[in-house]
Amino acid sequence: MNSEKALVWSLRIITITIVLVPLVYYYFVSGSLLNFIMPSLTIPPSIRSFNPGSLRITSVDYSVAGNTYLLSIGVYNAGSMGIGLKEASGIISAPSLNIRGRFSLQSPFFLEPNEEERIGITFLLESGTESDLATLVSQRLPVEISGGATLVLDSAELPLNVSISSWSPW
Amino acid sequence: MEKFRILYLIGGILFLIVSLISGAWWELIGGGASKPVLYVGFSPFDFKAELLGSQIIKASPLMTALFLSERLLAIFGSVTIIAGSLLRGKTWSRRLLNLKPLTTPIGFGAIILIGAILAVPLVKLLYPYIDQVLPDLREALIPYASRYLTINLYLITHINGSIKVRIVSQFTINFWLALVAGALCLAGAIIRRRETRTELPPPPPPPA
Repeated sequence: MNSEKALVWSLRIITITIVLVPLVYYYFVSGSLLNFIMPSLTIPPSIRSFNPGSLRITSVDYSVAGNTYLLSIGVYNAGSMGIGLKEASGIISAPSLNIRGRFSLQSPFFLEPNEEERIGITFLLESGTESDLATLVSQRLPVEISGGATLVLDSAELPLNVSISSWSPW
Repeated sequence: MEKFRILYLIGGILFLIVSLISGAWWELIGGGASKPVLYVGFSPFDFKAELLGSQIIKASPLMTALFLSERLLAIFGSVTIIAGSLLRGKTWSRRLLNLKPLTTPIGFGAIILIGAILAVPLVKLLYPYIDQVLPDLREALIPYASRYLTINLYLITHINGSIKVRIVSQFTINFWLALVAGALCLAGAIIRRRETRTELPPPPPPPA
């Protein structure tokens, strides 16, 4: 009976020791109560200065084959981290002109900071005419965009779905 | 060997393995599973928060001490269970059997659920518009509740629209293994209690 009591007390003492010793050790190592309690937050400078607008369009050219438009867009990474698109596709429409078409990125691209590249996007006009499209661009009318993309940020990938009801990208 | 000792032994060994290996019990993955943009991993023994592969939050010494204590307690609890289940002839061996493998994952799961529910009101104190920018943040944090986080673009870019980002909040295999270890120990405890009751002599008849 006494040995059982001793065992129970030994277990209790070991448990209390296991809890207290690390707390006491880390408290004295940390130097102050604030350092002891507060976790440290470190955001790398490249992430801190990240701006979604750092991917800039420098030029836009296009060629037409039937109702398919091949857009050649010059893009420049003015930011501090690598950025790109692995895939992107969706629908662009302008209800005011009854225009609707599908777009898709031809090939993935990735730009290191201060790099520039030309990317290809195909746009298949499903409803509307070429003159409607010209009106849309010249009058800078808002468009609806829905689709999916995989954004590449440095070595990470971010699959996302976009749904924009009114945006004037011009 | 009695049935309850076998259950305790398997549960103890399983929980010892889970206590010794590293890895999160719950994780929040924002972006692709293989190359996430955001990764938060949490267990009773460790915490990790990475943004684009860089560690952004380093656990405080208090958290590190608590994680170390919890790991040592889990190892100690498992070792005592294993010893208690093997020391069959000793009457005091039952004192070594405990339900640490059950209480740890249940307590951890409760902390995750309560944390996910309380996270939005707490973040709202710092960023009042958080529920307008991220309307389904709570669902994204609660395990298995949602696989997407909606980001309302209007408050950030003045564009009428939203982005749905893939996000996964889930318990890992380590958590489920710990819970299985706990369930085995609980089953052992129930069987042991039944056996103890049957071993006791019948109560004396009430006085007339």
